[in-house]
Amino acid sequence: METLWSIVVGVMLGAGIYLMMERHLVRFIFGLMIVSNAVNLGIFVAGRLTKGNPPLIDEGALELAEGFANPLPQALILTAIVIGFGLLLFTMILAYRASTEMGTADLDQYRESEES
Amino acid sequence: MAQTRLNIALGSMVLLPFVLFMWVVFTYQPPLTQLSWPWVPSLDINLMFRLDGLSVLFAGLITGVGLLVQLYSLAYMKGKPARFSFHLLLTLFMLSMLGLVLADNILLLFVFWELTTLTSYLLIGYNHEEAKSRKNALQAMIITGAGGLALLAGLLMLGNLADSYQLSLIIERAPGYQNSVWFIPSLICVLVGAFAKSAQFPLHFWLPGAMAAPTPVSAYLHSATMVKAGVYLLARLLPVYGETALWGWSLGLAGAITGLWCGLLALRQTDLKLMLAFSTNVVLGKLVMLLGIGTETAVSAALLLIAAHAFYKAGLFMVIGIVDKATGTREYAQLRALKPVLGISFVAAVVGAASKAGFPPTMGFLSKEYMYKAGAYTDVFVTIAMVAINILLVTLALVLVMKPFLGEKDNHTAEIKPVEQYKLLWMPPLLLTCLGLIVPLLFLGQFQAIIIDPAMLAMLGNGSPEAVKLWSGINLALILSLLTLISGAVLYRFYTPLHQFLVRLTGALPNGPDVYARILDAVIKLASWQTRTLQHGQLSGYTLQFFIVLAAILVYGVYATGALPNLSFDAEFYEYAIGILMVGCAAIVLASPSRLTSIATLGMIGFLTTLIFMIYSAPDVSKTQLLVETLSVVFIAIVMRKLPLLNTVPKPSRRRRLVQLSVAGTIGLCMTLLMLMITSDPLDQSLPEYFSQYSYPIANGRNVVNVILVDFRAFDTLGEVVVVVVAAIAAISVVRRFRKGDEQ
Repeated sequence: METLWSIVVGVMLGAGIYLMMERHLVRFIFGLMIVSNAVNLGIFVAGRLTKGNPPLIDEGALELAEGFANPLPQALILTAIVIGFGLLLFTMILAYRASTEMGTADLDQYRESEES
Repeated sequence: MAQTRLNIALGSMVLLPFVLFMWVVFTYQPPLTQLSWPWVPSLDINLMFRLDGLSVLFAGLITGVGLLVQLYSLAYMKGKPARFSFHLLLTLFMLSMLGLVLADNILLLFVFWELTTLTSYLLIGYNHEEAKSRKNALQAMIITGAGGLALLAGLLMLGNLADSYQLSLIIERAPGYQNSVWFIPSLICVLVGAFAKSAQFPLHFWLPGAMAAPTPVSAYLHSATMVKAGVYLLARLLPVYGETALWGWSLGLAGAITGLWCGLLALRQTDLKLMLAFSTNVVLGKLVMLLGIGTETAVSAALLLIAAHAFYKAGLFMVIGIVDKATGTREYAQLRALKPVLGISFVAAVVGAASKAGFPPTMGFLSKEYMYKAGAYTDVFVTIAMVAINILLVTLALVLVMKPFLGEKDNHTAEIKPVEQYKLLWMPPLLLTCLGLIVPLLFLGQFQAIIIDPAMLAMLGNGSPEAVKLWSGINLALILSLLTLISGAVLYRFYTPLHQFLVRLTGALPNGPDVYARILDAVIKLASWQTRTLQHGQLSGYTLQFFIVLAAILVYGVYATGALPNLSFDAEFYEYAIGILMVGCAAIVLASPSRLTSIATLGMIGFLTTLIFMIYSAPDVSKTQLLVETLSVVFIAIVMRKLPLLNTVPKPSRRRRLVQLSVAGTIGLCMTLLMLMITSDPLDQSLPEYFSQYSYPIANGRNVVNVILVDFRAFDTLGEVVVVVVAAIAAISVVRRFRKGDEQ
């Protein structure tokens, strides 16, 4: 299973990074979204995959049943998803403001801060 | 009133070196006095000072010559603007130099080393209205500063080798770490630093350049102090490095080349001050050679030469200053028959030049004798080089006295003002040059007891060398000395053709300042080229650079890890289906020209990710992802209406697309490989086990993921909430202010 998902993560990451290098602001944001998903998935896969045994302690038991899924990457990804959402939100607002003010979505024309 | 205050300030600065001189004299108890105050105890850096023969010789010269230079400056700088800051800078320089030679901690030593670079920069550039002054000051600072960097690297390596930054401990432990791999690199770095500071070939040219400074500065910096800092360091580290072959031949070679080449350059000069400056290079070359030999006699000769040189060179510089003051020029072609007007200066010049030439019974003669003795025991080539260098010095000494002071007046001669009415102008040089005569005649025994024996103990570890004597019978050294004097006088007879030849020769060869200017120019060109290339102001170029660096790091990571991963394709049909769907969705986003299609596909990727979390036992993550993904799609759809269409920006060129593809492809491939390597290794179970065992007993929670979030890592979660809130606030303010601006 890990082999399959390692390949998927690699492909997604590559696609996202390709988009982030483009000149169009919107394509950059698309890239950011894909990268964010791919990285979460990467952390998840690196923590090993387990089917049908979520890290929940049964009623009456004191610890997890044998063969439980690794809870640590799940906790990390939960945080990462929310932070990623905040980042995406802020990026989109910035993009909106920038493209309206500059009148274009071409990143290479955003040169206000450069010395001419 | 202001005048009184200035006088008090100047007086106190003149008094300070005297007080320090007395302090050194009364604190020092041969052979060794150590002082220590805590400074940064946590880093093992203490204000540790060490007074032994070597440092006391330097400290005495620094404070003693410092006192005389301050006195001389009082007269020399009279009526000049910013006199106060001049004396202040001299004082600061003196204090840094004193710290350098007394410090017993190499980091402390380095701090003082850099302080001398800084203060000497300010002193050399004192006439800062002149472009040449500024340029030469900067040149001196860049060269000695770069040397300082090398020195820092060398000293840190040395400190790590010896496991201490205390100089005396490093020297004590020296035999223990000389086989380490880092020993030779540390030696090379230290040598670069010392050679730059002591103006050894090919870094010799900053020293004559530093002649842009007022004459008292030249007298101080180039006799007793600054340039001797490198020599001091070499002498100090002689017990550490002296045994290595590299030490011997690199010091011998650098010293000999510097001595010979700068001697010829000195003879080529027409400005008397420049001539003296180049001859300082020559003496430094001699000192470095002697330290390279490193035997008892050589070290005695070096110590004698350091003192002799400080006396006569400072004095001679002051004499040139007087000549400059009296006539307004330092070109010897315009100077003749100064003797009747500047009688005392003439006496000082003769005594100084005698010591410089090594005429008995001066201190210079003594040091030359010991130099020949040391040379005779090592190598015939070394001896020949020494004799040649000393012949050049004899000729230089003759030029210095004969050309300006003797001869008949003619039409080209400059007017001479009787400046010797100012006592402070002629007393210091007379005293200094005469010391070169008084010490060997009257105080040789004391000099040996206070300076040479303790220094020998510190540098070579043996305390009782043979007594230094003026007359030690007719031997090889004495014959060589005589030969030197005669050859020098003969060479002086042929001075005019020699000078013309040297002018032609140096015109044909590349000279230091030009090479330096070309290198500096090339560095600036390189800097502007790389700024133009890397910082072109195009955002897409910056992201490309960023990802290229990331790709390089990842490639290195894969290469360094190097283990081949295990592959296993034992997944269910639906897992393959989800994987292929996700890859397909990514491809659609890449290719689609429509915003709506892209957003819909991105939503699909998000929901497929939710599915993955669901399948692999992560219900909480799955729920969160579902909610967030829904919100993201809604938000991006709203914002997208306001953003330009995808076809408003030109498509990237074919070449650019290939570059992007290869960079992104490399990163993706490396990530896949790294993840395969990670998952091929067995997982460390300690953390999962820990959370499994303690979630319920400690935190009373059955959902382990939740327990981790709100209990074990509660502060992280708090931080995460704060980040989201801050992002929201920032987003609101960006939109709000923008809307307001619209309405106005």
